[in-house]
Amino acid sequence: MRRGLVWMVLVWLVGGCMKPLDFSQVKEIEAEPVWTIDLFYSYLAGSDFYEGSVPVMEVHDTIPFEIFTNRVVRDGLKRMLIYFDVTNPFPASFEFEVEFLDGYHTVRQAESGIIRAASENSPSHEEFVIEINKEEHPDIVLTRRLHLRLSRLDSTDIRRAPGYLTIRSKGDFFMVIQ
Amino acid sequence: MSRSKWVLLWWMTIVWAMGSRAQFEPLLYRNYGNPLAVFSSASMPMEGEAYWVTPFVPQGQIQFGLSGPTIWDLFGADGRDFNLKWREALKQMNNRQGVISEAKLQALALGIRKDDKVFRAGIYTQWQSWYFHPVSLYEFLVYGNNRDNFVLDLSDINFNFEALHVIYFGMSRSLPGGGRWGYQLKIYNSAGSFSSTGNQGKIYQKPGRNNYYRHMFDHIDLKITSSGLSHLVFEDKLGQEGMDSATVVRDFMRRFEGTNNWGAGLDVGFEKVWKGRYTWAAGVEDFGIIRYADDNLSFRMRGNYSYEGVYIRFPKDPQEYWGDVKEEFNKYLPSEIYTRVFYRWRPFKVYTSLERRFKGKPGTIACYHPGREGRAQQACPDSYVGAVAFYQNLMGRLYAGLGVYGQYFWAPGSYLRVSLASDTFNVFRVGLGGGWRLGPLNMYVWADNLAGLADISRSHGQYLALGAYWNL
Repeated sequence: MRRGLVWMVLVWLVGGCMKPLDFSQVKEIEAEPVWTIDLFYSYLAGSDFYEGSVPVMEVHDTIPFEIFTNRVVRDGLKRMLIYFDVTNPFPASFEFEVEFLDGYHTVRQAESGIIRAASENSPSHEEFVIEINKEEHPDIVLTRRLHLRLSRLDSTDIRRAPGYLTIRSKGDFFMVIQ
Repeated sequence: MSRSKWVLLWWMTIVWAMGSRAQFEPLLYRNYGNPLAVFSSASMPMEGEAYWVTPFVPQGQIQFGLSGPTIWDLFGADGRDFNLKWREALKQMNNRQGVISEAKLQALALGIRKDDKVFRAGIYTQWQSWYFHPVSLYEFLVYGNNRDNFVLDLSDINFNFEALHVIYFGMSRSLPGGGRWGYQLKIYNSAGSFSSTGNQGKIYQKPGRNNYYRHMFDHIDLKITSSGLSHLVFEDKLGQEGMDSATVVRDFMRRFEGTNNWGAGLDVGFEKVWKGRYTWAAGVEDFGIIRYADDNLSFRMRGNYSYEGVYIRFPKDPQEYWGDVKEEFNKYLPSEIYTRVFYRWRPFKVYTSLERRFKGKPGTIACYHPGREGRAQQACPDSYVGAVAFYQNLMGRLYAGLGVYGQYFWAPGSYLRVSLASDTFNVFRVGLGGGWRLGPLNMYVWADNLAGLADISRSHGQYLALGAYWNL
């Protein structure tokens, strides 16, 4: 009797109980982070649209877009929103175009918008939002550069126009990580 | 990484998990006669004339300390959606919660009494680790940074994994006027270490001047140090393609035979008795430092930086903006990967306690000594109760505890011990232990957090010790 009691206590001390666990649940994990990052910004004076006294009807630039070199982002991307916020103080209108280029400079996606003419005291303000779903455009993750183009839509003289045409941009990347 | 390396790491994880025990052990603290109690209380007197433990098989111990969500909260087979469970768990977490563990495998321990002095020596292998939840990093990974009040606080990152061998020599002796003091001198040899502590800095965003946001990298100081891992993890990638991975694993295991990571440390303690019944004891364990000089690979990044995107100028000639961004980032947030020697303090522990004995005089523990004449007349050791406070320096994180314990001897060499404790990882736990003597062989079994035994998966810490030592 006494020995049995000692054994019972020992078993209780060293045994313990554990309710059923299921570690395979970890396979079901699904997180949906949204990562945001500034892309680029710019200030353009009216004189930037001239070479001497000769009007330049189009300026363009190419910026790196390296986020998809990261495999986690490339594989996990569900959709992305690219924001362009443009403020125009000039009495001139523009077309703003963005091209998503892959590593071979092939255009994978392109979007454009119109920037309305305005004045220094009452600048126009446009926000362009480009939404791209990976399901509809799976090759968007091949993007390695953004090509930006600003084209004049009129010939108003803005050489000495005060202020700056400003562009701000950011990207929101909606991910699904499993 | 090759399969054999993964297997090795897997087994190391298993050994770490199975051998783990938290540091604050009210069942062990000043447990008279137990050779392992001398580390937390170096002034301890000794039972009998000599003791030793059987090499490599002195005891088996399992313990963990876990704060925050439990294993059940995440992995319980309760039919609930796993994604709901981890979101709830993340809400409960804070950066003071985590997992802490320690294991000691006593390869050799012996002690000899000479008059009032006790001389002792031994060798043990120790696994020591802690990992605190970097909650802001978890939140960044699962929710991203597109939310109000986003802050990635690098001071959340605090972990340490280490395996080391320790050789020690020590003594304790009486003090005039009642009481004792004692010490152990220790020589450390670290087999390997992987650590990131004392990090600082915050990453967040605020409204930008030139762009939507201004991504801030404020007062960044991020450090990750390792010793003994670079060959294991990176050897194939360091220009030794085709290297036999079994050789890499063998080389790694050889580190447990000794490395160039040497250190020195000290345990010191004293106890003062008054009114014949009360004993105040205090001690420091593992006050020491290790110099790491073997297969080191470390990383450090420091600086301040703010980023608002690439400033583009629509130039006539193409610009290499990406190179400029990287150059600026490296200028303001320089990082380095280095292999040079580094030093690190041991995570020392501090104990203090007050005990009350119920009969006899303290420091005159008369036990059952086989082979000595008149043993039948020897009195039982004094039963006692005590309260202990504990603190451990975890380099930026608090680990502290309070406990009370009582030890009742019903026969020479046989006792029952009960403890109540609260620490940073476990709000309340009850421990129960017993010891028996068969001739010169002492055996014991202890279990802490008895309530947790009802369901270990929901427990915030369990401790089990089964052990034996010889005593004359």
